Amino acid sequence: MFKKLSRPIRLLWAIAKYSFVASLEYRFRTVVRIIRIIFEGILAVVFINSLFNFVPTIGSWDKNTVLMTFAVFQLVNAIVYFLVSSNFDQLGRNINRGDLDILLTKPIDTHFFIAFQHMHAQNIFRIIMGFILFGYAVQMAHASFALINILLFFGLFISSLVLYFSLISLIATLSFWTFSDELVVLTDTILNTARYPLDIFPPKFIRLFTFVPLIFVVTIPVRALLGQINALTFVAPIIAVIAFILCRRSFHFALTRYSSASS
Amino acid sequence: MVRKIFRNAKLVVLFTQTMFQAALQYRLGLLTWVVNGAIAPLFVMSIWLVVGQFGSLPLSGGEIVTYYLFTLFVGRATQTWTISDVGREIVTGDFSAKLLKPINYLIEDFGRSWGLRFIRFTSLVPIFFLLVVALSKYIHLAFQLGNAILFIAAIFLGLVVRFYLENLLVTLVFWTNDVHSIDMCDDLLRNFFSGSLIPIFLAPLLLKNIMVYLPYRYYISFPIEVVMGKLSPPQLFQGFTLGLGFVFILAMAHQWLFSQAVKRYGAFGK
Repeated sequence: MFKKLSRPIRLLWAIAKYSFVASLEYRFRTVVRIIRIIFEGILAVVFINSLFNFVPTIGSWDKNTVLMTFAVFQLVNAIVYFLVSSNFDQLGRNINRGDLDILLTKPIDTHFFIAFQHMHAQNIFRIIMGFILFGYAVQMAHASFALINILLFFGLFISSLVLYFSLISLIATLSFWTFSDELVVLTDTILNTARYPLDIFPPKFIRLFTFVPLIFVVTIPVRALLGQINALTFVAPIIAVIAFILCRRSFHFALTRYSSASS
Repeated sequence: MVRKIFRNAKLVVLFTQTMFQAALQYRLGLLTWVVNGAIAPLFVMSIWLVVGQFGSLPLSGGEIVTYYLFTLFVGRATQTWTISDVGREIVTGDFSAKLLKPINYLIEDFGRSWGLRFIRFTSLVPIFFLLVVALSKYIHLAFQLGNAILFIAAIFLGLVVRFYLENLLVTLVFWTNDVHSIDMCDDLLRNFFSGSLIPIFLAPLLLKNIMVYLPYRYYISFPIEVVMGKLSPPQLFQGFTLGLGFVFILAMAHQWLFSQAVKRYGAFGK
């Protein structure tokens, strides 16, 4: 059992090392990325401040809890993209050019290898920015959290990571039929809507964001941290598990339908 | 001089047609391009509408809907693909072939961007009109012929400003060899200052003052301010004059920087 688990972990570690070394080749890009991440954080603070220039609260959310939501989204997005980089974005291209064939010959789970073949080492700075924004929001709110809420939040944070990854993977699987990566770009845009609290919208939109499970990505975990627990809090991990099983099944189904482009 | 202008115009049309045919292959891409560009503005619009329900904004709900609907159209109308396309050609060495041609590469780039714009508008315009029809009762716009003409002029001005700014920025690739970083910087500044995220009417005073004097305003905010009739005649005059000033400055800066860049260009592998 341990051998089975340690192999993917060792592989991930090796991928992380070479991805980090590769990223050091592009020092200019790393510097620009850090500057961009800082400015994105500033832009988020400016945008949220602009919203609350006119109102003290939006529903039950004030400026600091909205910033907290944004920060948690940054963390989820940054961690997932740190691990999977643009691997799913390039799936369509790999299928088109026949580069997928060589990956299929590797003695490792294909879905795992396609998802993690490159890591986006520079996203570590976005993770740091997420922590800074979160810390800033907590400090400005003078918030303190009960231990049970913190534990609940961590559990939901893990399920958010799983859910986020699964949604990207599910849509990327369509590349086997569309032979392009445009849908993955579209998924990214849709998932970015989860960066703000989604329960500020009218009930029919909340139902939509529950059915397309965006509300579970950030809104529900942050609500749990703030002590606002409801039925959806306990549904979130179940949704994440179902999404993960679906993404694995659909990927392997797509592979059975895959015919090589002859590399 | 007149003959040269006609010749260049014919070349622009030729490149437009070529790009149109090439882009026609990617029909799924056309649809996802439109949907992709619509989601963010409509979502941000929804946020501002919700904010409007909890307090009073300088814009009414109808004006917010009008603003962001036009963002869909104007943002795409002024879009160019210079940084990604020309930047990639510089890095891969394909740009050398353009230097050998007896025409300025700007003519080809301008023509290609029109070709892409035409093909993508075949999917954007129907969806835009569907949205206008669906949201017609919320739209707050008094049609005036003068504003409509100025709106078209403002879009064209924004397109030219963006074209020259992106060509100026892409010239930096000759030194950095990194298209992605320059694209990231441009993208970030555009989000900040074009009015796509925070309309100029709702921006904090400091941000508003900065936005007025940056070229990014012409990408989205300025044409929409014109069509919504939010600018007084002196402000219109100032806006158009500043825009034309940007075109002149950016064109001159590009010409100089490009001449320096070409001297040091060593095309890899070509």
